[in-house]
Amino acid sequence: MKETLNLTKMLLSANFGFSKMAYDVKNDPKKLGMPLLVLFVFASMIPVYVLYMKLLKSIYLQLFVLGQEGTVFAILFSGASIIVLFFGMIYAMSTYYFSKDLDRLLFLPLKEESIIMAKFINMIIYEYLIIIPLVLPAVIIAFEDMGGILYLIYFIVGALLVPVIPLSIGTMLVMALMKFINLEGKKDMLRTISMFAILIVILGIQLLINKAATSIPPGSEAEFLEAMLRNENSMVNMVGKSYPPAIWISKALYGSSTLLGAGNFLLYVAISIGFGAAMIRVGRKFYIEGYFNRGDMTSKRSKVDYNDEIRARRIWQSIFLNDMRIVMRTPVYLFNCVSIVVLLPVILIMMPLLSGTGEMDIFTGLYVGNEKLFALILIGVFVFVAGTNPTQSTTVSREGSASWINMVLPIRKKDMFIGRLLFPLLLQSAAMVFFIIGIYFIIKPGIATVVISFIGGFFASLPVIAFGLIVDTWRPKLDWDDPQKAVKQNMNVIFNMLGAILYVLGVGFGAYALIFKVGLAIEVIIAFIIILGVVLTGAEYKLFKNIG
Amino acid sequence: MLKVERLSKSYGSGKIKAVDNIDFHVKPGEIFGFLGPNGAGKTTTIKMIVGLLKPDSGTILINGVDNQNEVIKAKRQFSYVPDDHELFEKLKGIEYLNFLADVYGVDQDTRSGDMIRYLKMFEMEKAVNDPIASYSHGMKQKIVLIGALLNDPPIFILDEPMVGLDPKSSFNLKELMKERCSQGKSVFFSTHVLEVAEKLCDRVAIINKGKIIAQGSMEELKGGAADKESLENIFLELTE
Repeated sequence: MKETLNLTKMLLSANFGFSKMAYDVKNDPKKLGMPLLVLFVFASMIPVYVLYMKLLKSIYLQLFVLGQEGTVFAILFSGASIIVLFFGMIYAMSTYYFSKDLDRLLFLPLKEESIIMAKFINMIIYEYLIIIPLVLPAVIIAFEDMGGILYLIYFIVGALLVPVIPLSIGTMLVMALMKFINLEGKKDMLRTISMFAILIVILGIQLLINKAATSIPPGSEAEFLEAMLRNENSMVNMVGKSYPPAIWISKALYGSSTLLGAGNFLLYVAISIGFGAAMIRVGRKFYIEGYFNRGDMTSKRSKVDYNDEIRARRIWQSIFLNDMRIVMRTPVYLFNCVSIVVLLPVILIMMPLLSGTGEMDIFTGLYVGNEKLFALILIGVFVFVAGTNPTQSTTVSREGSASWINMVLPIRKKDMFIGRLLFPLLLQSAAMVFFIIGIYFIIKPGIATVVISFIGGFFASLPVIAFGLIVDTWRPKLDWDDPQKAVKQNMNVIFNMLGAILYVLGVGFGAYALIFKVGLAIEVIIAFIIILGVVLTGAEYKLFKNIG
Repeated sequence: MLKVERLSKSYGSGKIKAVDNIDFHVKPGEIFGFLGPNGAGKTTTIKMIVGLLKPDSGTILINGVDNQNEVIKAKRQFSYVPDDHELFEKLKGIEYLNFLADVYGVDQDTRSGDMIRYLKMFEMEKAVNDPIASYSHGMKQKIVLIGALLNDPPIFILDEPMVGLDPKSSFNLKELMKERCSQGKSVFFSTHVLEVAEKLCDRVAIINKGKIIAQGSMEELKGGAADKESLENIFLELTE
């Protein structure tokens, strides 16, 4: 166990970069700025968190009136577990398969279980960053009614164990999948396909859970209400139906002073430990053995046709091609930068549609009679989509330790700016097309709306994409050992997103004032937005030229 | 060809002086060796020359072009081979070479001829169509070398070029260095292998703790030191 903990500590330090940060700050106090900025970003979220706590309190009080207060735990614990499962599978893929640290660990006299467990604990600690803030308010809100030493112990242990079961399931699924697709030569392609497959499975499960957990069979509403009022906390079973461990921990918490509570708590702990142990066994069988059986680095050399392969291009074309090739050939980049183009419209439009909820009627109602306003709103959505795509805000970071190449080469800023903007722009155009296709299923917009929103969206997205490029050129994250970190642990992505939100809000308020207060035509506003996009991008180019 | 004057660089808000007021001059047609123990300031100096680090003070003239004021023009005067061969792993070797040739504006015919010549010379023909990720350390070094040779610059800057190369490639590289110098071009390289420096270099500079402690031709250095037998002895004596 000591070995596992030591390894966990080392991996945590390496992943979070504590030692490097301490060294940097010690040698150059100016480098304290970045951690402080991160703290500031988190601090700025406090008002949202206070709102969340108030909402939870109000839900709790309403459930209390109905005698269903235990349901709050079921909601939180099952919700948190689904979040862990969703991110956990992708994270397990990165921790166990994209990280190259196994090469540096396997030759050390360490037990294989220790390596698997240390990596697993690392993932759990990462998950705490989301889980703890999510479930913590519940312990305070319900303390007055249920409080006691056992309640506290159950809650702390329960919350700490939340990620274990879903993360074990996710990790085992990923390991099994990687074991069977670990074929020679085509590893990257198969990894990419498997990541998309995982996502589709998760979306499918989510869809089923939504339908199962929220629907009451038609005609049985009266019985449902009667049952709910008759039995205290009967809703816990209903809400936790999709995830039974949430039922056990909820029952343990609201019945903390009873024997039934203790029984449920022990069941929850035992099953969690069981899943953890199963994950380690699967890890030894699939993960470690899979490492020794890998064969993707021994691919046969392929012959080159000089006439075909040696070809002169313009510099910006060459930069664009490099950028695109690196993204398309690195599964983790492909997944984060390109998949979002297809998935975001699917998640935002298709999921509510398939779930059969009524949000789409609002959408249709908004469009009819307000086509121009709809196009304007769509432009705003497109700009937001551009801001959420990490392609431009990680363009330099993705090059990592190979970034010296572009730094020593005689590349004019103009070529670099155009070359690096092209691929994110291409993706943004594709995203807009997919979005419009998605919308077409619901409201059949006119050709004018489609054309105006596409052109407007394109030019309005330009400065947001250029902003991401500037941020990443100014402060690239080059110091990483796992490509996942260049995208997933890169603050530039957040800065780009915040910039996009501010831009959309600013232009949105301006447009609102000009349309409804001044009475300007929407066409004029859209024309203004296009011009503004071009002018701002020009200004950003001047700024880009001055970055050292 | 390469003129470095009063060059300084410190880290940690001036606390650590990595390079302290150094001067040297690499003449046309000369192979210049840059020697020093680990952490002496060799790589920092080279990174300032190639534009990967900004100096705190001093000037660097590459073929008469100030690398701080005319950045792009200065970068056209050299090609660089770093000590660690970190490359775009997902690109094929041929794509990387094409990219470099595009940036340096090498025309189709010239790049075709040079690529084929150097790929043959360094035995990389069979691997050039594969992703760089599949290359060994030595193969990566060779592809960087070939890329650096494509634009045929006035000065060739290399950081520890012999480490990792097989004997045949190492021999070929040394021959290429000599060939370039016979054409009036210059080579500036850092090394730990004193025998190579002794046999290959017209002049050397020895850097220690950020300062140049000796500089000149092999004869001049031997003349100034107590032990006149080898560069190794001079090096050890000076860097004690």
